[in-house]
Amino acid sequence: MNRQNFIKKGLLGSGIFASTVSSAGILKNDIDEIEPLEPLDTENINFNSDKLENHSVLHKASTRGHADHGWLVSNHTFSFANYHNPERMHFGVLRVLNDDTVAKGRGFGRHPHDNMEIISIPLEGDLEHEDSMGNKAIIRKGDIQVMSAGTGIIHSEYNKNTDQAVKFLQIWVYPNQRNVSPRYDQITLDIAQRQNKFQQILSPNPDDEGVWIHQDAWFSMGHFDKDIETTYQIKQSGNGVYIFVIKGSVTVEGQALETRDGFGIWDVSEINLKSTSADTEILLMDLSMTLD
Amino acid sequence: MRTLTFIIFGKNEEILLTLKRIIELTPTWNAIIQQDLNACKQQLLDEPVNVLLLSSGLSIEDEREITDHLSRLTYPIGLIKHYGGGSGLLKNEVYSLFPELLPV
Repeated sequence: MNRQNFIKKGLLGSGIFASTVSSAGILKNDIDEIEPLEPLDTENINFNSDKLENHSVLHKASTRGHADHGWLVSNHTFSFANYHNPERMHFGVLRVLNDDTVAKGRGFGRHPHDNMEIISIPLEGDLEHEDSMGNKAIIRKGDIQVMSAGTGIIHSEYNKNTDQAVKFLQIWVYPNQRNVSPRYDQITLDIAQRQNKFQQILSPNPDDEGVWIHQDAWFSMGHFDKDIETTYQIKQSGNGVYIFVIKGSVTVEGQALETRDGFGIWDVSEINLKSTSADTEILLMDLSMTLD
Repeated sequence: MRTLTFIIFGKNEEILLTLKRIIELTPTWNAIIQQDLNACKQQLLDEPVNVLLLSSGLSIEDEREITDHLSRLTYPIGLIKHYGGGSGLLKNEVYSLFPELLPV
């Protein structure tokens, strides 16, 4: 699968690795039948930068999929569970970006995962993790949790608090190889190190800052005062960047973004950001646009 | 809703059972679990199914061999290389294969 096709399939929603086989015995893999790249969801994009035109996609917060299960309220940037939007399937190898709120004392019971790199970023409250590898831990704001599900992992995640909801981002990234050995890790970061700059929280390298995953991906978080300008250099040629505004507001190459908006850019080597309100918190995901 | 029959081929029994349970939540879908390559190939020959869903724990060789086997079948079949292991992506994968099933 070539790079352009993978991006386009993400935007058009056919990027699932499914194919049909005809009775003539010919594998008709629709991954190879994609027209040239076209960005979607562009009605709100101001193309005041050459970097953005035909190289970006905007997902406004209000356009996300919404699920309210009572104990769990979730907003899905990309198609997930019963939310299926063919125009929102993935951005490169980023497949799931769920903005979850779990009621006090409630949570996800024991359930399995496989073949996915799963990253959880707590925003408020305490989340209690337990898994089939014997790990039992609590993560809270400032922590990053990662699971390489690989051949299979069973886990549960509960809101440890009895007096408040827990809020966290649940992110799934396609792995660069199937059936790796399952792995769990969590770290606590010094969030002071992200004040008015980006702090790396994830990479492909076990020896690098933050947690690591089986994919060419680097995540960073930043907490900015108003009117702080910064430039982010793409870590690897060919990667795209997906920016999610946790709170506050920012302009990215002139594109205004507000709380919980998502914005993807590709075919660039660096991007310029400027916070436009105080107490702005940003998650930046620098990801491979191809699946090996 | 169209009737669909799946074969779920993989090695992790708990995940296979979970996928079967999730698939069969849709009243007109049913699933058969296979953990052995040769048994899976024979099952595909014995009775037409709509979807082969590749679950976890398979070797690269097993995935390649069962995929190659599909081209020898005399009926159309969908192939899903499943990611995620649970309910998160499963329906999306099925709807991508059969967009006409997407609820309006």
